[in-house]
Amino acid sequence: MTPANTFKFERVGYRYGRDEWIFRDIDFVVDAGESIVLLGANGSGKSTLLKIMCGLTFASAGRLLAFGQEITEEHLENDSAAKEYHRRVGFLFQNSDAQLFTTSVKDEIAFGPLQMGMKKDEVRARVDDVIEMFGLSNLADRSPYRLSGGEKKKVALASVLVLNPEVIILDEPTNGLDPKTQRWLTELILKLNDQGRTIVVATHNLDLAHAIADRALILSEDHRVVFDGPTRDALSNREQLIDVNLIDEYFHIHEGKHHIHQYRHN
Amino acid sequence: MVGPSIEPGNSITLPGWMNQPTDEKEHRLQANSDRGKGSGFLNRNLRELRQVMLDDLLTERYARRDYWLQQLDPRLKLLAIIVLILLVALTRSITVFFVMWVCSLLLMSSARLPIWSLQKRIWGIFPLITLIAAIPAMFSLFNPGAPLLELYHSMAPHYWLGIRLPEQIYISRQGSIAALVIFLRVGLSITWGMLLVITTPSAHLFKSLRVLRVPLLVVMILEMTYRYLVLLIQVSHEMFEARKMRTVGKLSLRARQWQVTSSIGALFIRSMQLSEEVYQAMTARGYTGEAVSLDE
Repeated sequence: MTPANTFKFERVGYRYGRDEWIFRDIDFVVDAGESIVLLGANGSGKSTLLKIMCGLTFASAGRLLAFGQEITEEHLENDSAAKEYHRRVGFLFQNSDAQLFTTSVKDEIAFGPLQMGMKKDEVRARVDDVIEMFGLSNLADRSPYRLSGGEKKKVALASVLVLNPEVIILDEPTNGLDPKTQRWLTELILKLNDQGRTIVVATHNLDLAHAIADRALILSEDHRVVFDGPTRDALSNREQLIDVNLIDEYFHIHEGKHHIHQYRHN
Repeated sequence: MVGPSIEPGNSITLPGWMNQPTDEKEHRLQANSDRGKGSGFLNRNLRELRQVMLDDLLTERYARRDYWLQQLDPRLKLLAIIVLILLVALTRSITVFFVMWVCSLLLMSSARLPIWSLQKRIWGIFPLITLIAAIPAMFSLFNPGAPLLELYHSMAPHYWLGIRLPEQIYISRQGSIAALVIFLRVGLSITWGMLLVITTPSAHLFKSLRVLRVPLLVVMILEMTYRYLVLLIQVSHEMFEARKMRTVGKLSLRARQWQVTSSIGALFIRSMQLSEEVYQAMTARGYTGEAVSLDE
């Protein structure tokens, strides 16, 4: 039996040192198959929240349940538990350079499956499939430092998807990408979600939020969840967006009039 | 209104001085002491490092060519180079050194490498430093033997503060040979290493280390060191360029020292953050401290 919700945050808090709270008392639930966008200005704690979800950092207060199991440092100290968890939850880092640490694109993509203990033939087959899917064939033997920003992002995402995770968490995925690559990425995220994967994206790109997520969570600058509901409502509530410093009062959406989107609608 | 401010309604008021172009005469005097292009120890070294690392090694522009040396199995190359370096370390024969040097030149030319610029790079830095360090060894004080060049000679022994000074100081034949041997050893070792590294794509080179039964974890650490060394050189180069663009004229020694130390500090913090993130990225893909490779 699979529990209905994938993640359940119960009064989760995170602090640096003794009293410097990054956020406190965060409560929300992510259901399986949902696509959620985490909106917040720079420094609102989005990245930290995502890393807690991925089991890379741990809450200083409260607790996080994932797939019905409490995720704690002790729980993930068990190697097989950690491998299992990281296989199910994939994380795309904001900084691709941190994520690409091997000497070739092929090795990079193979890293995850090898760590999971998959058979080498199976790993090779999977890597080839993913390379083809991402159109990376001509880069397969290239070193990460000989890739452009967009290519790095693609390789990083390929190395996450090769594990076929149930949940895909993306931290500012469109940062620094050209419009074409942004659109490509958006379409891919939509497709992955259509297939039933849970998607969590942290961004301050409102176009992206609008395009990919049904539900939005807004983090305020004082690190609280001030909104949890449909993305449409989140984006149309100007006062709130101004309040959390995501936009200023000159920002506007051309509602009901002809306008051009960067992204294709669902 | 004085000073920048962002008013409600998001109209940004520029400070007064930003509304007009800078008065050139007023600022020119500071730029007068402009140094010549390419000066500065740090500048030169960073540029050289970047040239070697980024342009030659990273682009793998020599390694990706189709000449026989590039085509040779990297494992074979690695073993051959190890044997050659051992030979360099053990032999004392100047003839052998000379023959090896000529061989290395022939290899370089057959692999279509830029011989002259490589020779400058190989012999110009480390062997030269070694040679300078080995100068004392040439004197009879440390290596007595057949005199080659006499510098000082006295008939009667001299004393100074009760210390008996040597009657004779000369450059000895044995000492000179010793210094020369050290110089050649360092230079030839670098030659062979360079030849291997420049003609082999780094990924292949690291894999061939496995033939020598180097543990996978060690190979992985080497690979990652190489990977991030490159990144840090790029970052430091960018930091340096950003500084340079905002620097007019000559800075005082103190200011330059401050620049260098603060850059090192900033770079250190950045590399700490990066290493933390890299570890997290590895963990996120199931790394639990055990290295696995596709090739074995």
